[in-house]
Amino acid sequence: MSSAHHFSDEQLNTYFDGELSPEENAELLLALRDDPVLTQRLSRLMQVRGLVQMAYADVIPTESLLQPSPRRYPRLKVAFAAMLLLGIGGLSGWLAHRGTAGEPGLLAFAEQVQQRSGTHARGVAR
Amino acid sequence: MSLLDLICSRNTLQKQLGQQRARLFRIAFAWSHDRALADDLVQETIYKALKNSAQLRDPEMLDHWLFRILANCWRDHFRQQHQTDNIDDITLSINETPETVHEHRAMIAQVRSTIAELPFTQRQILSLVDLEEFSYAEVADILNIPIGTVMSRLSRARQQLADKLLNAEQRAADGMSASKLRRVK
Repeated sequence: MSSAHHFSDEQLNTYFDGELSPEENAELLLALRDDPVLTQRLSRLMQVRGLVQMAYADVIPTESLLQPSPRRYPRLKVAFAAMLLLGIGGLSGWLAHRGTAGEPGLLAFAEQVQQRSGTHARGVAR
Repeated sequence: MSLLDLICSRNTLQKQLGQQRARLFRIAFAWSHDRALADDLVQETIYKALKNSAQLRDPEMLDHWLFRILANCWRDHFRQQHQTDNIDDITLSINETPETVHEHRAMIAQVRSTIAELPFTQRQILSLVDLEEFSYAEVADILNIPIGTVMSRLSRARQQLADKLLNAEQRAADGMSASKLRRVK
């Protein structure tokens, strides 16, 4: 009877991946020497690995992934946007304040004009 | 740790992450068979690795720490996209057809298509072991599953691939020799 039947697929995989204990390893190596069926099963595992590796050997990242990540500095971007907004807000506030601050001056000027025209009118009346 | 040490270690980590991008991408692509999604998953992995770099105590563990983040990113993505589906039921679309591509490309397409038919949990383990050569213990840690599960799923995945790919090759070879024999007759 072939010794291939003594070794489960899991055991053979474990051997193939170098994960068996030294004792089990030695046992399987001995069996492999005289058992063509076991050797064939192992050869199938090797072929499968070869095919899997071949299927993804040429998979390389796209250019965008090789560039610095756009998400690398998300906080800096948020901080910059916040500062920009603050700046715009401050500037528009200042301009608005400047507009309203001008009003008393205009009022005073209007009052002066009114006063002068009043005195002028009185002078004419005299 | 001084501020200078902190900056230096962060720069070193950034360099190391840059070197790992290709490996992460290959695994993300093997899981998803979708370049755009693989791109997103890797970007997310790198972002999370930088954000949580303080969690990496041992630089020697960088490799499987990164792949663990990638596995978590995939899981999060899957939860968002397929909340009611079974993770093993995800079917991948293969656009390439053997008739339209070169023989080598056709073989790659056939292997990818067969791998795509595997349950996702098997595909995930197969790629980590066969492409990245992680040990069973590392895969168990990356995916947070028992080592026995790693062994059984890997064994089933390889068996299924061997049945579909190698037996098909054998049948094709047998067919060719049979037709040659008929011609001789």
